[in-house]
Amino acid sequence: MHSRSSVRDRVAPVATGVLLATAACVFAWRGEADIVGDHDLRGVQTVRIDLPSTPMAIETCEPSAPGACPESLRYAGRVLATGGSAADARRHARTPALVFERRGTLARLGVDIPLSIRGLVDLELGALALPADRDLDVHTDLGDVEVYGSRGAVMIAVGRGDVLVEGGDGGVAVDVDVGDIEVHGGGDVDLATSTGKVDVLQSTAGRHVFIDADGDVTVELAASTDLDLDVAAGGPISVRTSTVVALADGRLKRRTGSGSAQIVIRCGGALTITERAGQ
Amino acid sequence: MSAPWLPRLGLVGGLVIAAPPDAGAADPGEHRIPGEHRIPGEHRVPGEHRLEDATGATIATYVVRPGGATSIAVPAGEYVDVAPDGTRRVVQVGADSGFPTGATQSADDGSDRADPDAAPSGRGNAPRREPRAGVAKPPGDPSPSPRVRRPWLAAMLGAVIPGSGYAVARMPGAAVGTFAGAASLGFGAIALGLAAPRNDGTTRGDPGRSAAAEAVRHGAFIATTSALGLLWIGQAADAWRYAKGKPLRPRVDHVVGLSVQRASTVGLRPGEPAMARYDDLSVAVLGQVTPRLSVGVADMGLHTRSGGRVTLQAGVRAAGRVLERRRVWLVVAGGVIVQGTRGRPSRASVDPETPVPRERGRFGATVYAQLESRIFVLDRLSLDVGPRFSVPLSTRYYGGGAALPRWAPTLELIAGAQVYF
Repeated sequence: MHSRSSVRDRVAPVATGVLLATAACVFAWRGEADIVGDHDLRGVQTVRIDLPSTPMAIETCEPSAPGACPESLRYAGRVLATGGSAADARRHARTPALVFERRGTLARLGVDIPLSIRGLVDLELGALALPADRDLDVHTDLGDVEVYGSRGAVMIAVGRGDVLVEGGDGGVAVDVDVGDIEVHGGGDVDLATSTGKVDVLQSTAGRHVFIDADGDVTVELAASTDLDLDVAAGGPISVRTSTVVALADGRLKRRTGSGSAQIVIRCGGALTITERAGQ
Repeated sequence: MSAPWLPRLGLVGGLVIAAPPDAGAADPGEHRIPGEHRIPGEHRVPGEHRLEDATGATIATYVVRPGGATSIAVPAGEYVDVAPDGTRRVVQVGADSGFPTGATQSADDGSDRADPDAAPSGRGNAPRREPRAGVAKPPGDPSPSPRVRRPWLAAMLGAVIPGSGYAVARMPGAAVGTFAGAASLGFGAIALGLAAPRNDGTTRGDPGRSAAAEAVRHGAFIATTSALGLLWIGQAADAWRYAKGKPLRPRVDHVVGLSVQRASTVGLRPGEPAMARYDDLSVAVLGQVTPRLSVGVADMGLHTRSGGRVTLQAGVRAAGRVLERRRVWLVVAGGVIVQGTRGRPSRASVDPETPVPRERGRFGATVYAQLESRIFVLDRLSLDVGPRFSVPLSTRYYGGGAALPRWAPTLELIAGAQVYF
């Protein structure tokens, strides 16, 4: 017959081991709620979208066709939430509210998340749509941001996520902590990513290009006749345009024509500059 | 001291031989000393004696000097005393081994350095080899203990490079093993950290990695980093102890315990990625109010996130030792964590003249029960590990913007170190 203490000696370590093996988990529920919005943009020139964490695909329409392009900001998406019970999770998902405010020509889309559920909810917007001639200022912590067809200025700040801009004729400024940047457009560009690569495809000649990237950078210029080139890279530098052909390590400075278009690039990886075929 | 056996103490060739009142009659060849220590009276040969346990291992050496008082403290059991002339005598030592030493003599087990706390052999009635037997050094004897290997150097080097402390203590096997273990855990933790998908959850409609894979990765990260931390602390302290030649006797009579504890878990988060790691680093100060029972302030910590949310937390905890086995204690504890949280509004106003109303602060509580295994590496230092079961009564906030909902049952892995005063 085992003594009480010897039984305890055997049971306690086994119980500890079992509990350790099952340790480190949380039992919770998930909830979900839809969100939709349609806000008037008449008289608004700049739209700032400031959401904590959500991927966004912003599509634009041509305002010259008013029947097909209402002068408004439209979006749809959902709120995901966790809770200690199914009812709690659903209630948490219904609690956040997207808030649209405007002041003069500036409008702002934000979200109210009460302190009691912060960390328990997550936004996931689908497509947003607005007229193409509005300027955009987009901020989010986490999520890919895509902008298609904008003719205004585009500013984007993302914590973690890739950015794709097609358009941005009024200029594109992107700042990403972790993520790649890709811009196809005809405006000046000022792009920075702490961890990621950058691709630029220029559609209009004579635009400024400023890039600061940790990874590789690829730039396809619309023309190379009036360049003020100042580039530095951690990897090899390759420039193949109609006016400049060079291979370099470290740094390269060149000037062509009047030098009216500044190309200033700093990158940690390889740098490739080419010119669009047929120019 | 007013022990009745004191008058019966006799100096026999320098070795303290004491006999309780009834000892002399029991065995004319032996003298009984307090606590039923019985040492043969013939052991009066001056010089270095060895004390062997039932397995033949030398557990102590001591020097008998004419005129000097010495004594031996050994656990209960049967020993063989080997005199300088080779004479072997069996010595029976009773249950009370706490015979106070006087002033003299050097002590060294000389044979069992790697395992001073070995468990009882289980063969016959072999004595339990407790922390090495000690024989006091004669007053004024300048000779250092042969075990002394610059203990503070061992501790400091061990704190910088795991395993190097053992090298100072002249334990090459432990040094290599510890370094290899720490390096494996370190590289493992780095690999697990880097394995985090860079863009998980950033793409709409992309479910990312499976929740199971992420949960396993987070769990493995918790396990490796906790193990690395405990190993780092433990090996430095252990190297110091070995270098100093100090036996391990956990301080059961401590007044206050000061602990730093990490409680970690893996759980659901809203959206993608579907899993998140929840870490809570906290400090506790518990006073031992009665033997085995401690009460105090625990779970003191701070959680912040860049968005301006700040959570201060503290709580009360009661902990009771339910098991004490040499260097391992099992402790059951329970308590409540109280959190106070403040945060800025989640959005700014487009009109600076009509700012968004301030967010009101919140208070919340989480109740828990935990089972700690405390493994002592020094008399006053233990490494604690075990599971905790907690239930938030309101939203429980963590650093980095994470939070757990109320009523979500949570199993956490706790790991930490505790110092006893």
